[in-house]
Amino acid sequence: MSILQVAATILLVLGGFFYFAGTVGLLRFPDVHSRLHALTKADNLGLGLVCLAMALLGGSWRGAAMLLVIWLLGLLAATVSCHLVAQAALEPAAAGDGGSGGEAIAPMGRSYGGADAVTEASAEEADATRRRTGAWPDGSIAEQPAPRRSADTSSGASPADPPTPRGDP
Amino acid sequence: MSQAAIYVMAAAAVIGAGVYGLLVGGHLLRKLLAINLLGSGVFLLLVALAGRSGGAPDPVPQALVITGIVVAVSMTAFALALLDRLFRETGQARMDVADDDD
Amino acid sequence: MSLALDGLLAIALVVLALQVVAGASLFRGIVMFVVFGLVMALAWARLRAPNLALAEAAIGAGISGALLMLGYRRLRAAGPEATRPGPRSSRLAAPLSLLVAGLVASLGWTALGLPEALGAAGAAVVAAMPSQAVANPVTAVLLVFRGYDTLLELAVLLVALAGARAVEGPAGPAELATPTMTGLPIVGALLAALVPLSVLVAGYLVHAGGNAPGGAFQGGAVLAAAGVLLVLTGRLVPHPVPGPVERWGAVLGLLVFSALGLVMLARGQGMLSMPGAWAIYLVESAMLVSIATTLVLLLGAAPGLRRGPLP
Repeated sequence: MSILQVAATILLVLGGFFYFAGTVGLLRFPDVHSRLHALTKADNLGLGLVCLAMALLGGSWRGAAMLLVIWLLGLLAATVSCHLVAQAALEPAAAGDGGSGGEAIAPMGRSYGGADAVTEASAEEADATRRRTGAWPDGSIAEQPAPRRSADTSSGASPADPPTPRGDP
Repeated sequence: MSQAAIYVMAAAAVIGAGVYGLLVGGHLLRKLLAINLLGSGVFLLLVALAGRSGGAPDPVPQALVITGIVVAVSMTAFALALLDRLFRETGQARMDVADDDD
Repeated sequence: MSLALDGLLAIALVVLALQVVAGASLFRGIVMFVVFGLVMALAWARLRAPNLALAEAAIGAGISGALLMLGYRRLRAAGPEATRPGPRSSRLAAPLSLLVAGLVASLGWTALGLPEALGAAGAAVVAAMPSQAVANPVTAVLLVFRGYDTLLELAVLLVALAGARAVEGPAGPAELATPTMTGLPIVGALLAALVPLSVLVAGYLVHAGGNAPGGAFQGGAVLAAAGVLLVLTGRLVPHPVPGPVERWGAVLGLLVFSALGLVMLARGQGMLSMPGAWAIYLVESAMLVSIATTLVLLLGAAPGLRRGPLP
């Protein structure tokens, strides 16, 4: 195999690893925003590496330019959809009809903490929802401390806190 | 197994899943999804058989399936319009009938 | 090695299909259906059908997914009870579906063993291809050899549009959910980048469809996707009265194709025969406009569209 093919293979494997890492993040992270972070960043890097490998194997500048455009379009689409999903997950009550994002995007508003989660999702999803409602010290959502940190959520500030005023727990 | 055989088996399984969804799905959207799956399975069968020799695939089934994909999306749109009307008139979008065959 | 890829794709298709019909929630079923469409596009690419891969990715995964999501959202607006899946248990369903799958599998297995590589029609097409004005055999079949099917397919799109309006009833079209978050500057940037690019890509697909994978359906789907983006972000607003663009756009493909066919019939050369590559490109351009308009109108669920307020 020529040096080009070896380099392309290494890049492909690396890209595949990043896709794998992004998917592991999607499956293992506890809430919407960290999942979005893992998915968007890792997947787009993986896409870039795969496009680079294809450009090396393609052998023409035109093909390489088209692959660059494909990567940029992928970045654009992923960025915008990530931003929109993150915004929607922050303010579910303001998301229009107040119902459509409820099941798939982890609901974080107080209005979804109770009835929807119980009637709609299975018990496991309801647990995840309860965990998530405590994860963001927004002014209106401060009822339950996040159980994934051990006991001292209500006292100290965790390093992930944004500098917003916390409501009373 | 050749490539065409793999996709023929997959197409048969997808058609089976579509029939299952059509029979079991209580909600009409589920039935619509199952009908779309049935269509996709049939398309897969057609195109897999079109390329069963290793050479150039038969272009006639491919053209038929392109037509089929567009017809499937128009059917989906029309079915959703029907579903909306049914939901507005009767307030529910299910076909749960009382006399199950249990 | 490549068979391993085909095997993985086949397994993915079956697993996704089962998730669609027997998944936990309706929303999950719709999402899995979109993913199923994307994996189908990969399968089409593997089966040496690039025209189909383009069409499936744009229409099957994109437009169908958007339609189903919007329909789900309209139901969901009435409360979570409207979209509870709750499958009925049925003792006949599993054996019956296994029977059907087995029947199809045995049919397919037998058909795999047929001696001729191409059907009779396919062999005739392949034999007639070198003398055609276009080099893409699928485009030739769609417009030259089976033009009647394509003409009627444009009619099917129009009938679906008319039918959707006919079943609306006296209350008018269903409410499209108010787009939210459309004032974000990033949405404006996305539209400014994607919509002109989609128009360019759609035109290129029609132009390239003569000699390379592409064609009017794929281009029409890409243009429709741009229109769907505009509708979803509030730049195009559904309106009860259709304007001239919607009216003419919806029928243009059918009109041009039938007019050309009748002219050729009058000149004694057989209806729907294509007198050259220019005729094919003319009809495909008209089809592009009409497919895109019809799909966007079907998604907007209203007779017309107006330019929405710029946020």
